[in-house]
Amino acid sequence: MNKKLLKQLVLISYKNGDLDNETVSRIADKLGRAELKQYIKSLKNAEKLRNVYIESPFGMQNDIMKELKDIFPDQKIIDKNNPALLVGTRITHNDDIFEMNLKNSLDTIIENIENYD
Amino acid sequence: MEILKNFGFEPILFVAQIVNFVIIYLVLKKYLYQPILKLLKDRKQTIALGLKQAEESAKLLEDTVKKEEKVLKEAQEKAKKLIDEAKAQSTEILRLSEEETKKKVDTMLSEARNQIKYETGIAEKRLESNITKLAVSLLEKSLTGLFGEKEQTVIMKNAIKKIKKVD
Repeated sequence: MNKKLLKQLVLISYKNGDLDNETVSRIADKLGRAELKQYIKSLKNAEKLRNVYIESPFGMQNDIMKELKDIFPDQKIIDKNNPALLVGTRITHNDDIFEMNLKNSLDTIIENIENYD
Repeated sequence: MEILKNFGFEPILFVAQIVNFVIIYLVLKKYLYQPILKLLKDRKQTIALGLKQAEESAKLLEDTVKKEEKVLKEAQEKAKKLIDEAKAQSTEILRLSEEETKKKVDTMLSEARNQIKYETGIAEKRLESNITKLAVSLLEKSLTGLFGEKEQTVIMKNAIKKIKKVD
């Protein structure tokens, strides 16, 4: 399976910006083992590109959500509750991670102390 | 002459006796005395030779004893010298061995000290790390619930500002 075909398959797997289960199932049934692996990998990459994960210990407020949508206009924003962050947020988009939370600050302190000679 | 006759002296018998005596003397001299004398002379020579040999043996023995004493003395001196040399060598070997052992011990001690230092460093670092983790864990537990939505909103707004700057 070439890259172009794979790209087309990934494109048609989405309906209204979301993955269409029915389409994905139909495509998956017709693919062999190796092709299926490639297809799943491509879907995961597409999901990573389309989705922005916002983690926070509290629920996201509407005005903040609106601002985030303005920053990531074509992406789907997925709000995840993560009390381990204590306070602050972790924003993951594709391979980029933006950390601004107390947990990360404390982890950085530990790392710095461990690496300090 | 009368007196001689009175004693029974007969001149003819006397001459005959003298002749007999001479004959016996000559016979004895030839066949008895000479071999005996020769035997005696030989015996004397043998004894003299024996004595001479005994003297020589005694002298030889004396010389041998002297020589033995000399050889023993020399051997003792040599042995003493050898013992002295051996003692000196053993002392030197002992000294060198002690020096080498001391060096080895010093090296081992130094290595052990370095190892202890290294391991102590690692242990200290591990302890430090564990203490830090413990402190942070305690901090995390004590901070849970301390922050509310108000602080969260402030941080989120700051985060958005930062992201906007980056973009």
